[in-house]
Amino acid sequence: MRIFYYCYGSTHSSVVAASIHLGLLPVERIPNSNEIKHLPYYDKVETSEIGTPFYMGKDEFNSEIFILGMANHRKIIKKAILSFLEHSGSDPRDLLMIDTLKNVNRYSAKIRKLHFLSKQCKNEGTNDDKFNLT
Amino acid sequence: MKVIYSCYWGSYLAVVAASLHLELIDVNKYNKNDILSLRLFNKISDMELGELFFIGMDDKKSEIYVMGSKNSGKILEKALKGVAEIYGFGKDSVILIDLNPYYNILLSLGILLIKRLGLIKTGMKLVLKGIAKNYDKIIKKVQCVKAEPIYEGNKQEVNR
Repeated sequence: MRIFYYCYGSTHSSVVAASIHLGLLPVERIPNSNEIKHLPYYDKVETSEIGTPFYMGKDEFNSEIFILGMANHRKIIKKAILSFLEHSGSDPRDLLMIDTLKNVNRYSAKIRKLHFLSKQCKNEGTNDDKFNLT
Repeated sequence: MKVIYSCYWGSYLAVVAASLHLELIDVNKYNKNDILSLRLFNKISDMELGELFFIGMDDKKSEIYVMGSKNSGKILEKALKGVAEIYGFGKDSVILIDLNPYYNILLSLGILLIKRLGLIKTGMKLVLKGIAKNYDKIIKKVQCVKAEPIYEGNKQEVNR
């Protein structure tokens, strides 16, 4: 099975969700900002890379975990991927797509544009959202 | 290989381009009745944006599709190529041709009249004029697609 965690830029909430899934972040407590900052792809995906799926790892059930940025086109791109796979003869039950932005508060999402503030704020926002993502 | 012709709504420029690719309409002469009789012309609803619609298979055994993708073309192509690679089809197994640059004021106004104001007759006249205005450009784009190296590679694969 393949699981895609998707958000706006595949660099914050989807990375955190995929990392929780893979056990890279603790679930029994809120991780500190250092733990989040050192996650693979966290705050590292460039705008030009939005749309490219990134492999995060394999979970205990042998499912492959990916992250994907879809900007403001999440509904259409999700539908297009599912439709493409259907036309390619792939079993849709083999795929799970999870919108992680549904679990992110406005504070964390809007602050993205203010880059000079973002480094600190994103970590704080992500901490607040972590319980939702878990 | 899947060739996806895409535009904002999916049922205007994309349908015309896909039909030109498959030679369902005359590539030498614009004919509005030919366009109006196309199966999906002005038939894709807002709810169907993002869905692939199969139009036909060309002489190189490529599957030709249309899709309405709003303004997501660039990101969507990367996502589809990435997914195709993950699923083992190869990233060159799909190409997406974004036809949004071929919209013009007549087309946009016509679609607005049809979709938002329900003025189908007047809107369709403008849409057809808009398509006629850019018909040669769309033909050239389709010819470019057919001349792309990936596409030619697909031909060799079929011949083998």
